[in-house]
Amino acid sequence: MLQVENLTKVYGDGTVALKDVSFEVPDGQFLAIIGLSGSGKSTLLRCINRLIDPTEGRILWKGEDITAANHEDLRNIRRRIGMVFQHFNLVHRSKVITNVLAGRLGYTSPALSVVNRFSKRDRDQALRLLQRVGLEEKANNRSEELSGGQQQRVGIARAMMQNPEMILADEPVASLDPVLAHSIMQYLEAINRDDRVTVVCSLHFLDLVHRYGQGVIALNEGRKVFEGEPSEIDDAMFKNIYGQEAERVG
Amino acid sequence: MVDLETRPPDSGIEEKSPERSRERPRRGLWIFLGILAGFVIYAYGFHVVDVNLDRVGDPIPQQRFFNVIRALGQPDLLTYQTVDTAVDVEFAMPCPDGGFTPAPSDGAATISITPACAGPRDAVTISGGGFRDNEAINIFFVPPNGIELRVAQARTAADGTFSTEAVLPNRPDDETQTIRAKSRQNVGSIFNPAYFPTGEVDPDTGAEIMLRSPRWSQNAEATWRGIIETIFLALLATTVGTLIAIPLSFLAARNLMSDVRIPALNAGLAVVALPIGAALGYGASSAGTALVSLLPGSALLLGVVVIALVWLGLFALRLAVPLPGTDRSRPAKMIAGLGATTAFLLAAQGTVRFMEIGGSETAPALGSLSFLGTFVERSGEILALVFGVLAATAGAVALAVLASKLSYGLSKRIGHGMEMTLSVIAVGLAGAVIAMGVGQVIGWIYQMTNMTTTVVIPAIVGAVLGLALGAFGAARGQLGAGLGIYYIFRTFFNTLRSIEALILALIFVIWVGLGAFAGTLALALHTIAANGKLYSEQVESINTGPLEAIRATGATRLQTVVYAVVPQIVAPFIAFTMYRWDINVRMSTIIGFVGGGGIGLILQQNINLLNYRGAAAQMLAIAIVVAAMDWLSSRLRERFV
Repeated sequence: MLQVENLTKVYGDGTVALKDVSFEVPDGQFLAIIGLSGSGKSTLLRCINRLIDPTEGRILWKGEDITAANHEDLRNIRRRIGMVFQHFNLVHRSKVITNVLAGRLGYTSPALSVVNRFSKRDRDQALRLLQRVGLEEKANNRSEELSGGQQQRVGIARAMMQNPEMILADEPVASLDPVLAHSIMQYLEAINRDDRVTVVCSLHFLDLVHRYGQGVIALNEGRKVFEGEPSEIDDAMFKNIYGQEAERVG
Repeated sequence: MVDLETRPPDSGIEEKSPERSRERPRRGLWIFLGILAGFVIYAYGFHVVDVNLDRVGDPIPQQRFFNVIRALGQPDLLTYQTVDTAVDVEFAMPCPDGGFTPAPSDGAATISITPACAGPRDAVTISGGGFRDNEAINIFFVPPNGIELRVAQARTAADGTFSTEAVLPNRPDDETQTIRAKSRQNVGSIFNPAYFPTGEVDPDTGAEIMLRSPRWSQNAEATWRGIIETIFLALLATTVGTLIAIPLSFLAARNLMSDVRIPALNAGLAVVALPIGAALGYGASSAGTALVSLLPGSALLLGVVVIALVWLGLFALRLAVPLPGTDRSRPAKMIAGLGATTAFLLAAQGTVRFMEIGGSETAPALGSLSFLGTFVERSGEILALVFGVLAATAGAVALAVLASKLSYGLSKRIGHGMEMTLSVIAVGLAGAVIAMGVGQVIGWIYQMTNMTTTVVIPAIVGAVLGLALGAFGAARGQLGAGLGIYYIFRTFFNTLRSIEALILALIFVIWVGLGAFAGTLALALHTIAANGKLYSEQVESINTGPLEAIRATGATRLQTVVYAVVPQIVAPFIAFTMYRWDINVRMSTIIGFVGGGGIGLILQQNINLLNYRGAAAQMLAIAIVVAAMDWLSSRLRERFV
């Protein structure tokens, strides 16, 4: 169970990105976060693994207080939380397999990993994961040679390399061709269903939310404006979330 | 990631329109003032640099200038063997009573004197023919004792004739005297060289050593040696400077350092641990040196010992850092780690000594390759020199990390209030330690021996400042240690960078004496500063996405740097290093002007001796090397970026 309590984030320049946000995510749920650009979705996801330090509030996960964790504890928490990014965030000049193995860094002794040494077991797992996302023959290519959809699949393999208990996905399909969106979302769905990994995923398109989300929360200007099931979002609620001028397209 | 907010640009059209009428003349005034200011600035500039066309037209300096330019076209590169051709004609001084008719000369070249006889200090005309064209001719008066007295110089015309006037010396004699015209010719040409016997015999072959004409002049050989020295000076300086600049540049990269925030307790304890760790590291290194020097001074034996130590160290390391999946108890790991550290330390010390002894032993046996042995020996000496520093640094870092880890454990066990109190005390102590260090430096510079001013007062001031910072920092819980380190290194780079390599060379010449070594040190130091800054700016401009992604996997800071930063900066770092080598070659051509070795030294000597043809050879060499480096580095940069 992930519990977010009264989370507030104010940036150094005074921008209020999150305002008193609270919600819960049961283990194994696929939670979708929706809202306009700048509504605080990215900030919220990054507060969960403390890539961004929240200003106020608490985040509890499986009984642990993430917000109070010190440096060492935080590394141990982070390695159990995979993350998938809108811009994939692969290291372009590194090989695909190295990018996937990087997901294992939290478990690897720093001295050995610095000279690029991973155990046989890790290498085998990396290849297996590449196979799972259909890219095993690209293992030794430079990741910049891959297309956007392929890069995001490598990003998912990297997150899975952590053997995560939860995956945070920040707009995983927003910079992809819409036709590729479903293929990427299906990988996340499979991970959620087959590996029983909790997924917290921010999304733009409402049809994706209806199709994949088990729960939804909606943010508007840093405030939570909706929490419930995808089917509960009717036209009135839609206008509430996206503003009066918004039109439904999907 | 900061969410960007877009704001419509301020549009003040309505406000502006009433003022427009007043703005026009004001703008005109500004333009007028700008032009006026420019006029004054450039006029003053002309005054200061004394732009003066009178001197440009002055014929004597102009002639000198033209001579220099001509010399550039005739660099002193070749020496020719020469032969002299002499043409004699009889002459009488004073005129005998019956007049004088010289015997006709027989060779192809002839000279004649008008008049054929004359008194002392009379002027005569000497003309000749049958010489080569445009040849320098020296005219000598040769009295019966055979000693030549030069009386005139001439140059032949295109048809091989010449004519010149000479005033005769006061050497009357009853015997017939001689007037001699000598021309000097180079023997051999580049495509058809001549060989001259030297009279010396090669001890190996038994054949006589022949001297080639033309051959490289001494100046050409000195230029060659100088330019080789220059290239290697630049190479060494770039290598050393780069190796030091790279690790430091990470510490001067804002994006890596700004989020390094350390709890006040950790930071305080780590700072206090630094000097203790440095002392321990230095002590361990000294002990290692002492221990290794007990070993017999045989390179072979030392080699065996070093290999054994490395093997032992690897074995211990494997115990200390088990591959994932194997479990070992904490104390066992720590003991193994300690053992590995000791073994590696001793092995390193042994290697250094092995290099010193082995290098000096093998150098004489290598013959003309003895510089290889000397290189190994000297490298050993340098390593021995830096080993103490390295060990002290490593010790300081290790103990600081240990202190920081201890305080993590401590802060978990004690309450919040207690931690706050301890934090304030630790930061106060750290302040005292830092201030004492600063006090020592100041005391050293001003040669103060008074302990109160160099130790006690700084300690008190530092402690007070530290306590204040601790109280403030502990309230917030964290100290921005990363930013502190960032500012220290940025300031260091910026300060050092502003001192030109030439000035650094002057200082090093005082320390290590004239020569290329001083130049190498100066350029290396300048490279550290200049490239350190460039590298760190490159690190700052990396794509932050991968950084965020690797951090999110739970990687340590070091792992993040290796996996997310390094792959992004390899190419630009190579480009910058090539560029710096290029610059260093350029710099090292003139660093000899201040005694820093390389080709600049003989260039400066030739200029001072007004030997412009000699200097021309060096300038030519510099131009060729710089152009070649320029081309090479741009080609390589193209490939890597």
